[in-house]
Amino acid sequence: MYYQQQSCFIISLSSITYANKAKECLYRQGIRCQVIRTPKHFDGCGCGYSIRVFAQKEVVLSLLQKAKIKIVAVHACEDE
Amino acid sequence: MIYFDNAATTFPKPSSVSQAIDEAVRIYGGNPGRSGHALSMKTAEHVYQIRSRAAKMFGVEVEDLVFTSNCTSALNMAIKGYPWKRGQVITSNLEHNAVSRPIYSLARRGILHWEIAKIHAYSQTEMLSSFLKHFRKGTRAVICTHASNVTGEILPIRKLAKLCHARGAILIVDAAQTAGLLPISVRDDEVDIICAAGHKGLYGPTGTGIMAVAPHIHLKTIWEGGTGSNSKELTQPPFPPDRFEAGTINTVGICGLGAGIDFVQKQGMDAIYQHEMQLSEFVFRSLQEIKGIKLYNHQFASETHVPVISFNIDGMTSMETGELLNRKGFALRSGLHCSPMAHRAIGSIEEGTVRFCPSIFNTMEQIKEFLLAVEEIVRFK
Repeated sequence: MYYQQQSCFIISLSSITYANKAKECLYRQGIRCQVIRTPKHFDGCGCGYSIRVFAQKEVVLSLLQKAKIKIVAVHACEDE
Repeated sequence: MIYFDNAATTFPKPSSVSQAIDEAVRIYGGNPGRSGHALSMKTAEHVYQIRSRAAKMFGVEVEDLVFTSNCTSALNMAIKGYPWKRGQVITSNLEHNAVSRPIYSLARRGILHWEIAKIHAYSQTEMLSSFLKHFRKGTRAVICTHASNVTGEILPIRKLAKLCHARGAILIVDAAQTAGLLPISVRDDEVDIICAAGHKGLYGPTGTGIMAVAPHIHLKTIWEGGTGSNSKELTQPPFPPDRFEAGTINTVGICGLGAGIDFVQKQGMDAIYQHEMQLSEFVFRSLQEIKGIKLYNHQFASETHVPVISFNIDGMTSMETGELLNRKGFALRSGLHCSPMAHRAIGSIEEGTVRFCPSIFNTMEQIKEFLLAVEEIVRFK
């Protein structure tokens, strides 16, 4: 059941600092993710940073909100 | 050369700082926050880790710790970037030009009125009373040094913050002489903005500084440019640190600064302070006993002073004494130390002073050699 709730998604963040902060925040809770360049078709310029996560979306979003990390957008991974 | 000019910049640097700089050039070569390739990402993560450690030291969230090129640039960003309403700011009479010149520039344009509180040779309670006397309706801020770079006097920052906030003003602190030596925190001391040099008590390389900003402070930018974020927009990103870090950051310097911060934390700020104060108190007492020496520190003690001693030799300018000490192999700064206000306060605006400031690397043997050299100069002048 728990495994079924996990999915791959991309969270766009304001900057590389927030992306690394989000990564650190999730890592502390045992959730691994990868800092990536925001895909161009997500933000229109391809100059922002995101994290790519495979986890329970609600848990991740709640952790980031608790850490006051502003989320710009959430997208499903393209390969999903 | 025995180096006692650590109030200007610390030397030598810890070997870990040299190693970190070397590593930065060889390993962290990507431009952080600008690209998606592995080298840029690796560099960005390394910078983030250093930013995070610095933020913890100064009591702010990681994004509120801004890397600058020195303490002066941080102070300019804070003083010129604050959205002032017409009113006045108060400084002490011991300020460095890094504080007084940006304020003067705003005062001259009629943006602010500038009041100066006398604090030299005052107890910390008297210092507070002196600041208090200058408060009135329309006082927007106190902008002051944490400790004088000429007399070593420490200002009661935490109490000053309370005094400011109770009257609707903010506190901006120039921690050039104290960062790495005395704890100072936006969160714990309730300071609104802390500006510090990276190359002094934090043992980083020159070209580094920090600005730690409380989250409720929203500064305007004083320069703009590329940040690697919000690139489609013509306006600067609203979020820190990008808002204040236009242009490629000094990765090499920041890596060195990170190692400096680690060094300070490993040694312990208190241990560094105690060591330097022990050496300085010995110098102060010894100079007091040499006839023909004029000391400008009205007193010198732990808790109320940082290890900075100003003196002159009777009948000689500070420049002449500095030069003779240089010839004998001692590096001390002479002149006004970019703090004419402080020299007016202590009565040395014409001749300046010779300034002694040790670091963690100085020893009692070096101090004794230095005192012998001073005695020799006094005897044979």
